[in-house]
Amino acid sequence: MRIGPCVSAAVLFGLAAGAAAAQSGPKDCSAAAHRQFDFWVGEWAVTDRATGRPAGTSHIEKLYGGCVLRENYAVGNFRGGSLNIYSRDDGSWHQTWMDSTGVFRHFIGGLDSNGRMVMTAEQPHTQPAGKARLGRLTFTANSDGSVRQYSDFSDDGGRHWSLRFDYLYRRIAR
Amino acid sequence: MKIAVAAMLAACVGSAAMTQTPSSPPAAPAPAAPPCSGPEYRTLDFWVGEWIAEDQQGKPIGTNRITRDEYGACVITEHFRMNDGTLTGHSVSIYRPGLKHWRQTWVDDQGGFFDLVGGPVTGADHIFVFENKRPVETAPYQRMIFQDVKTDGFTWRWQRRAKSEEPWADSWVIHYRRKEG
Repeated sequence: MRIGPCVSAAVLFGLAAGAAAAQSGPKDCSAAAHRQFDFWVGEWAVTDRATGRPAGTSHIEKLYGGCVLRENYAVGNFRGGSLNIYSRDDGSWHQTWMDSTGVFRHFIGGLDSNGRMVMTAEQPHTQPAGKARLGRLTFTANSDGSVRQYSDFSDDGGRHWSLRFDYLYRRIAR
Repeated sequence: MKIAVAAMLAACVGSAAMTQTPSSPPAAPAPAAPPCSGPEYRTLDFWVGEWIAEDQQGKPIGTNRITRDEYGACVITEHFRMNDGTLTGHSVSIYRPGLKHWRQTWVDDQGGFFDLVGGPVTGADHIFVFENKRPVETAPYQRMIFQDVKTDGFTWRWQRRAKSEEPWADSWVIHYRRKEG
């Protein structure tokens, strides 16, 4: 899909006054909020922090006028990717993930008080009477330039969380 | 994010084993179907191709390249660009078998972000629809429809309405013509 060049997304959405406050400022992606996730941009070798074993490679590109981070992840024959964007409509970061096994996830969040990017997704269970599982991603910029990506999930609405994976991203030297 | 691939494969193998009844004669397991190989994943394939986007007067305004093989056969990927450089954008679309609908994410160089849900339509003037998940309750309803779909072209309409009981009104119409060669 696409939106007419003469009608910005903000106009199309016709936002309420509260949300419109977040719309003030330039209608491009020059505002600082759009750069909050730039620490993830790069060419990365990914390892499992617990075992030290390789967990794939990832290329995070900054595209579309600096508005979008596109993730390109590969391990073996598996391919996955995500689009990451700060939305002026709700003042949140969004990540939508899709992959070669057919998985879709929509994470929503933003920087926490420690500068970590934290985003959470509801994963609807298809079992009868199943509750939505919460999946959470936490990205931390380490002082040595590496990035930690920690993933956990909750089946009780966020009271208890269990580890899914804990990865370390190290830059691949060119 | 990335899912735990090994765990997922193990779950698939376990699930396949559960379907064997105890009285079944031993047999070589049938090869598992590749992901996203069902016909429901192919209902958006009419959109795949290299397209010239034209306005309602037939004037070329942009290009669009739609692929279906960047993530196995699971994701339909869009690369849209206006000829005058005023808008460049990208979308990814995927079928969700558990929920029996399609999802599309659109992003662009104006900071636009759209989260859409839809799928094939029968008995209407269009064959496929994506409607936006409104970011706030007061946001208008918006959708895209694909109609008059032929091998070499189709019409795309972006429509909106302020309330769910109102009729849809066009806010942008594009005629797509397939690039030759």
